[in-house]
Amino acid sequence: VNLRLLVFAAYFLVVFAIGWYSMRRTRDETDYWIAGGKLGWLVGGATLAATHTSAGTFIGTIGVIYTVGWSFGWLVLTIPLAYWFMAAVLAPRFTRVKQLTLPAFMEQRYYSRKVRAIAATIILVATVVYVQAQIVAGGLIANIVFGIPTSWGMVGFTAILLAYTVIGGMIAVVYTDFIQLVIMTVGVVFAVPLAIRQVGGWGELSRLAEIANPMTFTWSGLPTTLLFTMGLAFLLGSVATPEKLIRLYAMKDMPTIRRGILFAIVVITGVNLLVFVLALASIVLFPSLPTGDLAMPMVASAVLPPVMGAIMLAAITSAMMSTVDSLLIVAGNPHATERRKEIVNRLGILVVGTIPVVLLLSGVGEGELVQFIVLLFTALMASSFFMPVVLGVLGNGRHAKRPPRRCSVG
Amino acid sequence: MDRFVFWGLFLMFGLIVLGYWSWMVAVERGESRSESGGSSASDGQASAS
Repeated sequence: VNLRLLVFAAYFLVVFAIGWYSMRRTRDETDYWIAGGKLGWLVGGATLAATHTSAGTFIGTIGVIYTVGWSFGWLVLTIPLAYWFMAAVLAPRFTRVKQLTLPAFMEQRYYSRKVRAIAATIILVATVVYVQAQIVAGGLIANIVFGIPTSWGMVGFTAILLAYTVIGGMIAVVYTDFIQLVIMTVGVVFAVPLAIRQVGGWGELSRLAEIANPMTFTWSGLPTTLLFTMGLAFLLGSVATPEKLIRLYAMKDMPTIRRGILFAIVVITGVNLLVFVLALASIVLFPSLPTGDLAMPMVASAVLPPVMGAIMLAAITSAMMSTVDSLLIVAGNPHATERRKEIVNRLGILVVGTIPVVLLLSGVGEGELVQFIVLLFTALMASSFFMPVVLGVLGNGRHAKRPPRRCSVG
Repeated sequence: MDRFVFWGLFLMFGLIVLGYWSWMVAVERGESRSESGGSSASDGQASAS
């Protein structure tokens, strides 16, 4: 337990240091909301990858594969397809006029402040639901690591997140994302060989997984229609969710965006494939867990050596934090302009970040597998923004006054 | 079957990365050629309103 405390203390210290450094570097609104708009491909791609990779990957994906088998894993192929579409079709047009937020883009494209308000409301509602799922997972990790009640863990998780996001803005978010991505990658890269060794090698892993759960390598775990609709939601959601689109504004130019997206594709897909292997190992090692969402915390605490286990838990926490901080940035600034006061910007994020934890402590929004909440969020965002954003950048202006219809079509 | 599935996913991952990289290089070559030729960059932006 002391070792875990040390690893987590070091991690939080680094995150706070980045928050402090970022506050000193933030000079204007552009710095605060899009990190100055001059990011290179490495940091830009890393923040995209870290934002994409959430508790959905580290807890949810393992949970679903643990429960229904390998078929869910094939959805990983939607990731590169979605990001290629973002790089080739969306980004060149979307970034032509840099804005500070997605609602601001909608207002500028559709000439309507009402559209901006609708977009901001959708983002706010979806963010609250999604952040709740991540906070619940954060509370569980805190319970495992520090032995404190889950509700304290949820409050602590939110407080740490809000501290560095509010003071440091997008600069803090992108640099903490970078560190968090490194921790996540190190976590899975070291965990996979150890887990394979624990079950007696790769051959044994696949054989025993099939014995423990006969549907592991079949297509029967998920109905085809559900698999298809999930794939569609992840495909469109990877392209059109606001927290990803805003990162296109944060990067310097199109060559940087293309390289950053290549880096993101490699890391996101690679980490997902390694997570699949951990899912197989958890089927073998813990065949009768009450819920699949416990598989990853079990691998971290019971399979890995103490230091690696602590790093893995820090990696899961990093995955959650890197997604939530990005969502708070996009949900906390519906009316961001160049002229707004710093204090108002920070207050917006503080309020949006506090709502989910207050709701949870009042007993609203608990339960459900993490991955299904992620799916719900992705589907809502994708259906609300894919049509208006993609048709908005591809269209010729004739339909400029129809965004609500496009939201409905989505 | 299981091994085939596993390596199949990794193989597809490799091919996709290679495909993206080739596309990126081709786009950048096209851009630098059109810049040196004096015309505007062809980044697939022509049809945006």
